[in-house]
Amino acid sequence: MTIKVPPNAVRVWRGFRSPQLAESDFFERLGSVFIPATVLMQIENGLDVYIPTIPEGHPDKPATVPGETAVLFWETAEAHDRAFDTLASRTYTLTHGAVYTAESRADAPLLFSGDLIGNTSYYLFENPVDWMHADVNHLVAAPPADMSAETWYRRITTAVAGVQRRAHAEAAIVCATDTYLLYWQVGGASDPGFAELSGLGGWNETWQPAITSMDHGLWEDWPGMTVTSGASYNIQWTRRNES
Amino acid sequence: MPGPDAAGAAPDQTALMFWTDQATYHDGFNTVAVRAYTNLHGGAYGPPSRADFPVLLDGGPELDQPYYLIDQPADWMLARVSHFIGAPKDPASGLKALSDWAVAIRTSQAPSMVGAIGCAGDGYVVAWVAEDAALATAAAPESLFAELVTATDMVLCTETEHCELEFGLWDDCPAGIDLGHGSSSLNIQLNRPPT
Repeated sequence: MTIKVPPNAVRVWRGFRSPQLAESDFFERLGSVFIPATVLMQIENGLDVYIPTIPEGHPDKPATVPGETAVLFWETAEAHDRAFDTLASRTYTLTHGAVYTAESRADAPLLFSGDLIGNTSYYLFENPVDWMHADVNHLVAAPPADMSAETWYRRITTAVAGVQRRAHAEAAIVCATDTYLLYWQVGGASDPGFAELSGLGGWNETWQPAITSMDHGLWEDWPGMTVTSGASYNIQWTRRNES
Repeated sequence: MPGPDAAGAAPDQTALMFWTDQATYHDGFNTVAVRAYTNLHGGAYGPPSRADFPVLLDGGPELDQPYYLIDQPADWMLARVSHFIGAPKDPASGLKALSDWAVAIRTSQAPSMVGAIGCAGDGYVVAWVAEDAALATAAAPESLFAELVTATDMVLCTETEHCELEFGLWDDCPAGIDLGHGSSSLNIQLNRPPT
């Protein structure tokens, strides 16, 4: 069943591994706790889409690039906010402290209207899309060492403005700081924007998140997922409005 | 939970968690729910926080090892439970205080007493007594921990309060359980699945 969610009913997550946690433990924690718990504890609160990606441990990834990125779509933005009235959501949120640095964050995107503010997420198209059943491409990149921040932001802004103007893609989300770029795009394979962003010159990697079913419940015997560096998932589950 | 004036070395939170059996506790880690719950602790607690299964006291107690004194099953959720936390007046006397209390508990053989657990850590002693609610007397909780009251600076000594959990994981409960101000000790009433 298709559930098209509003383009701003999403949290754009950038997570940095806590230095207290060894890299191998980070992957183990993501697979055995975090990624499953994100879904299993939030389904009943209206979580509709979850697409995590793990750049952590990737060769040559700068330390200033997040070790985990994710987009989490909710039935509505209000559903996300109301979720904190439940014990399940508060419990889930509290688990982050032991794994991620204080620098890690998530926010809801604004509609891109030509200007890009650092460390702020934007969506490019206002039409609702079901990202769970879509062709998603994800880019994580860092600026080249010799590129000024001004140039970095200008080139990103030009590229995403082009994606928006051409409207070949169904949906897109962008978030940039001085030290990294995160970009997700649904559809629009023929649009040159994705290649333009990945060709900015610095370290970069692209992913097509793998369709991955969450077939286990919170209280079932299940060791979790085996997460490794470079994994990327488009988690599949029966959403509460589908049952 | 001890109140804001609690002695520095005493735990900020104590708890007993009973399981169907020890295997059930260990099996819980096979589930996402228990692993997620366990992962909570790092954001709230630091060293030397810990939890252990108690062993039956036989001889002298050792530091940081919980002991149970009455070798019989009991339903602590339905019992009248009293709890004590104290800081030994003499830093080296915690284990003796615990041992003296254990002797007194076992000697009393009070018919109402169905369980007793104690543990001495670095700078603190914690203890719990469970009484059959139908047989328990109206005596003050201090009478159940007399040897510990004498040997320690008392941080908390109270009868626990039955507390119903009136909400589920996904119910609107923005406040959770209201712990109020100062010390509080709760005996959470659960809807346990039939065994």
